[in-house]
Formats: sequence, structure tokens, C-alpha cells
Amino acid sequence: MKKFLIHIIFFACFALLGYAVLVVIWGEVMPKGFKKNINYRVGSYGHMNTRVREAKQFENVDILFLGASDAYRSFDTRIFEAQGYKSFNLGSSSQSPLQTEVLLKKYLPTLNPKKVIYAVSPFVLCSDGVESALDLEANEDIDWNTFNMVMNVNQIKPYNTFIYATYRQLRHKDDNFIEPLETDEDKYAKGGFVEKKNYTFNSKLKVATTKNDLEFNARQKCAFENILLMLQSSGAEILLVKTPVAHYQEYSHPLWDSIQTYYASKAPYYNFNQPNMGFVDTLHFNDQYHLNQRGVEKFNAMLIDSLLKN
Amino acid sequence: MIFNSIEFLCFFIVFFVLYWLVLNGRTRLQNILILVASYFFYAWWDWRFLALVIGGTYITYAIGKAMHNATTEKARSWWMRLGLAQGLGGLLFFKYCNFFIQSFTDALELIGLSANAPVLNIIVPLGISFYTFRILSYLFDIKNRKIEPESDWVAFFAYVAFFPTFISGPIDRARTFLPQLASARTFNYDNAANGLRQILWGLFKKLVIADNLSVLTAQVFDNYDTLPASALLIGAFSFALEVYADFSGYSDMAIGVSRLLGFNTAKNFDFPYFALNIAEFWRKWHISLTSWLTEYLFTPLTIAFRDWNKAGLILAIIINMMVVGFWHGASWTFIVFGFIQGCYFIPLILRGKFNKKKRLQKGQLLPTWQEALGIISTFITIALTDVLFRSESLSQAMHFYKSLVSTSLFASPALDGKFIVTAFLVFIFIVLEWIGKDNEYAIEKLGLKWPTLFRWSAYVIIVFFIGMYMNTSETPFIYFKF
Repeated sequence: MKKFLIHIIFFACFALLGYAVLVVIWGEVMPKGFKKNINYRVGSYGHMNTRVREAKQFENVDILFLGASDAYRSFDTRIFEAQGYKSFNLGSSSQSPLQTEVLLKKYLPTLNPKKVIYAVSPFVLCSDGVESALDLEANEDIDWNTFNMVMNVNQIKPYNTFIYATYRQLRHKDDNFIEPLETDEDKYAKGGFVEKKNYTFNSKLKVATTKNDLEFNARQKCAFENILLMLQSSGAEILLVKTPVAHYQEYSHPLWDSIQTYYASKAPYYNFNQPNMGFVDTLHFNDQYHLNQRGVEKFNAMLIDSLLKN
Repeated sequence: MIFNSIEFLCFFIVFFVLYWLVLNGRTRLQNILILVASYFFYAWWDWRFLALVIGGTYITYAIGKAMHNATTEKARSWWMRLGLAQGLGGLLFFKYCNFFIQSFTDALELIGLSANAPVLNIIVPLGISFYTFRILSYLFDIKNRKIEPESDWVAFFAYVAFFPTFISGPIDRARTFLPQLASARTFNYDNAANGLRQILWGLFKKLVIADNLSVLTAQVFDNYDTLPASALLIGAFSFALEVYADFSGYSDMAIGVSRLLGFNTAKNFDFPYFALNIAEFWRKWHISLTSWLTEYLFTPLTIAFRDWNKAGLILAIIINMMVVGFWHGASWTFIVFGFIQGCYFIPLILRGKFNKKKRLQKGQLLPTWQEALGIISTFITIALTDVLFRSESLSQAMHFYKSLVSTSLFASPALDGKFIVTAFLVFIFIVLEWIGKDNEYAIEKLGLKWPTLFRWSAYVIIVFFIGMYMNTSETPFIYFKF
């Protein structure tokens, strides 16, 4: 028995090391389709690579925006700049509280915001956090916080990608990567906002998570509460905002009501989906979850008038 | 709590430490631990049926004793009938009740009578088909005087509920398993290492092969009415391989876990897709079920029909295979599946080749062309029949078959790029299975004569493939629904 247990321990150590080596070799050698559980995307569609590089140059902002794509596609830092607010948008694709927490630990001390506008939705507290974890692993510096985040997400794809990303960063393989600021569809604006060039409403495009899948993720909830504590102790004023979405009436899941009550119990919460606000699906949206630039301008003006000036 | 979950790993580590380090050498206490852990394992799935399991086990235990103590043969037969009614009654009620009601209603409608029979909202207890057969084998063996009733109730209850095999087999016979529970167990390094290897191979089969094939299979079966026949054929092959990798993977894990506890559990698969004909296939597929049915159903039937010569044998095999089909699920697709499988035996019986065992030579690197032909034709036959196994209804299966007969059989299958990756994984799997086909499972002897570093490296490569190709979300085992 003793020999068996000793061999198990030795094999576990050997397997960990061997596994990591194989992940790196596989990541380097195999074509993309064969790397099912490594998803390393430097400069992915949310412009995260550019955003985190830029975040290092910003300090002492008036407003910090947080959240998923509804944050970096809804809060136009240029509009806020024009109104005299220095702001930075730290949103990223499918960003869940687990990733927000990592980003804040890194950038909150230097960004030192007076106000934090956190775009929340029914999904963030129910998300598994995989997509955003992969985004962060490929575009942000790997450190202990990232490792903790990967452990919390606890899925094979972020684990493998973490190993591969660590290798790439140790070898400085992506140091010279420059993400294009403009693509056929998007334009990155200074301060982290991403403008959609297209004004046409695509009613069929929906995010993968449907309202029927909603289920509280305890780890996300814990991370969310840590975020609020972190922001409170930094002295920043917190505003939780639900950005406008098309077909809002489809948000009829019973859990959404309890999630909204939960948000409202934690910090001032504003839902910009009231009938009198005048958002029209075909006029102000690109898809069900994202405003077009016309919608962004309307929403930001409304936000500044109602929440910042008053 | 399935074998490939963190919950099971934690549960098993605690169990393993208690079993070998705390209770080592105290057989009865180890059996009590097995019993408690098995009920905990079952309750983790669904605690509501635990009373049913305990009650059913107790009644079987009592009937076994009463049957043994009966003074006349008539009384023994009555006790046996009561045991059958108790065991099969539960199975029939939970698994087949709605099927019988629905079939009865359909039959009435066929003759022009309308019936409004209620569909009962019955949840099928997990593993009921497996543990029912386990307790029935105990009663049959007492009836046939092959065993004495178990005097230690803990051992008997632990036999019925033994957690590695409780949910999805293999179906151990009482006469082979109860003596193992009665005897002292000593930890054996080689046996435990062998168990770990088998668990690793089972995980590979399930997580790498079956789960990736399940995506391809679903893609085809969910869109069978729009895809070309070439894609349907790939889908049929994919499902045949998926169900094998899924179920034999589970069996490997169950047998491996049993080995770690010092038990030898019944072998369930013997590389069935390398069978040279259909008879050999069924000797290699779900062995613990087919051998159970051979002993308790097929053999009595052949004796009963012996005066009818080959016709009797054909009838016996068709009934036996229909029961095999029906055991899998309460649906006409399974019954027709079994009937067709039975019909495949007819040419072998007519040519007098039914009992002639045809096997590949041991140690051969490549099959002869006749053998290759036999293997391929048997696989195609099985894969095409498995369409019934996968289909929701007979009409869906018929539609699938009709769509297969088309010139689009030679068209591009129009499947997504993941198909190539899955094909690559399946190729590796088949090569490893072929190399290891003379062993109990494919990697049983892999690298045993190599230096430790090389052998461990081979295992790490398998671990790596699991980590690289497993699905992110948990996919349930196919046989859990049976």
C-alpha cells in the first residue's frame, strides 16, 4: 500500500509536468481545429489587448466603466470626455465578476475612479466565466490573480489556455503584437469604447445564453460582492446600470426579478429599459443586446443628464 | 456523482482511505462500509428510491432463505415465482408501465375503438434494470441449487448495492461475487495499478471518443431529413462507435474501481467490433447481460423447443434477442432492434455455424482479407441496426433508412470541420484497441515491460488527450437511461 501511495504521488507530479509540456507542444504545433481545449486569442473581438495596454497609461479618472460587451459598446468615453468627464472603459467580452475582480485588483489603484458605472445584466451572476477568462488569459499579464480566477472558473479550457498563455508570455512571444484599432465592423476609441460601424438592426443575433438557462453561480456572486467591497473601500461611488436592450419584454424570467432586487440591495441600481425612454429596436440597436452608435449617443446623454449632472 | 466527476473523486478518496487504511483486514466492517457508501452513492442520484432498493433487497433475501428452507419442490417453485413477481414487478411497473398502456391504446385504436388511457408520471429508478437482474440471478441460483442462501445479510445487501456496478453494471452473478465479499481482501499493488490503468482507459473512451462522437451523432440524427445519405451513414457509424465507447468506457471504470477495492467484477466487453460474425459479436458485447440471458432464458428456451430442431433454436434466439432489445428500453424501436438482431442469426443456424466459435488469431498484426471482410460486414450490419437504437420512433428510423438509399450516398457529407478531428481521435482509438485486442482491455499491458519513465509517459499522453479533447460540459452515460 505504501509503495502504491508513493507511486501515485510521484505519478501525479510527473503527470502535471508532462501534461503542461504536452499542452505547450500541442499549442505550438497543431492546427487550430485540433486544439479543442486551448483557446488562445490574442487581440480577440473585444479589443481587450489594446484596452489593457491603454489602461496602464490612464490614472485618476472621473468615471470607470465595468462590465461585459454591453459596457464597452454602450459607454462612449469620447462623449463623456466632451462633457468634461475623464473616463476609462474596462469592459470586455462576456466579462463576469470573476474577471472584473482580477482587473480591478490590477488597475483600481492607478485608475482611482471617483465613480464606477458597472453594467450588470441577468447573465453576469449566472455565467460560467469561461469566455471572458480566455480573453483575459490571452491579452492580460498572467499573474497570481489570473491563476486564482482560472481556479475559480474551474473548466478544462481555461486551465489549458492558462498553461499555454504562461509559456507564451514567458517567451515574450506576443510582445510585438499590435491589435488593429479598426476592423470591418468595429472601431476602437481611446479610453476603451468600441464603436459599431453598422447601424442595421439584426433581430436574429442573440447571445448564446438564453434567459431560460439562468441559474445563480455562487462563485460569481461571491466575486461580485468582493468587487463592491473593493470599490467601497477605495472610496468610489458605485452605480449599477442595466443598459438598454432590444425586446426588453423578453426578460420575463422570474430569476431576473430576484437578481434585480439583489442588485438594488447592494448599490444604487438603474434600469434603462423603461417604456418612456424611447429606445426603438430598429432605430437604436445593432442586435438584441447592443446599441448602435445612434443608440449609444442617446443613452449616454440620458445617463449624463440623469445620473451625473443631477 | 458519475465516475468522471470531482465529486466521485473526493468520495472515492475518502472511501479508499477508510477501506484500506482504517478497516484493512476487518472484512465485515469493510462490507458495512461498502454498503453505507453504496447507499450514499445512490442517494446522491436520487434518495427517493433508496427505500425501494432496500425493500427489494430485503424481500429477495427473505425469499432466498424461504426457498432454501422449503421442504417440497412445489414450495420452492412458488417462492421462486414470488421472487420473480417481486423483482420483475418493480421493473415492469417503473420501466414498462407506460409502454404497455400506450401500446394497448394504440392497439384499440387500430381496431377502431377509442381509448383514453392515462399516461402515468413515473420516474424510472436509476439502475433498476441492472440490480433487478442481479437479485434475480441470486434467486435462480438458489432455485437451481447452485448456491446456498447468503447467511450474512450485510454481504448480500452489499452485493446488490455495490456502488461501482450498481447504476450501470456489469451484472455480477451472486455465485461469483458473494464469495468475494465473504473472503478477506488484501491490498495487491499489481491489481490496484491494473485497476487504475483500466479506469484511465475507460475515461479516455468516454471523454475523448464517446463524447466527441456524440456531437457528430447528434448533428446527423437531429438533421437527418436534410443531410445527404453519406452523412447519415457516417452518423450511423458514429453512433455505433459512440455507444460502444460510452458503455464499455463506463464498464472499464466500474471494473477498475472494483479492482482497487480487491474485487474481480464480470468482464463486459471483449472488443466486439473486431468480431467476425454476428454470433461472435453478441458473445463480446455486454457480456454480463448476454451471458445472464443465455443462462436463465436462452438455455431453458432451447431445452423447451428442442423437439423443433433448427426452428426451435431460431425461435429461442429471436425471443432472447427481443428480450435483449426490450431490456434496453420500453419502446418498439428496441423490440424491433432485438428482432432484427435475432434474424441475423438465422443464416448461421441454418448453415450449422451457430455454435462454431470464430475468432481472430492471437498476436496477429493485421487481419487476413477474409477476416477484414468479416469484421467490416459485421460492423456495418450492427451500425445500421443501431439506427433503431438511436431513433425516437420507428417512423423516424424508417425515414432515416429511406434517406440512406439515395445517390447522395456518394455526395460530400457536408459535416462541419470538427468531423476531421473526431475521425482523427477515432483512428487513434481503433489502432490502440487493435493492438491491445488480446488483453482484457486495450492498454492492460501497455508499456509493462518498458522503463517506468516511458510507461508513465504513455499514460500521461492519454491523460493529455483527455484534457485536450473532453467536452466542457458533462455528458451523461447512454446506459444510465436503461
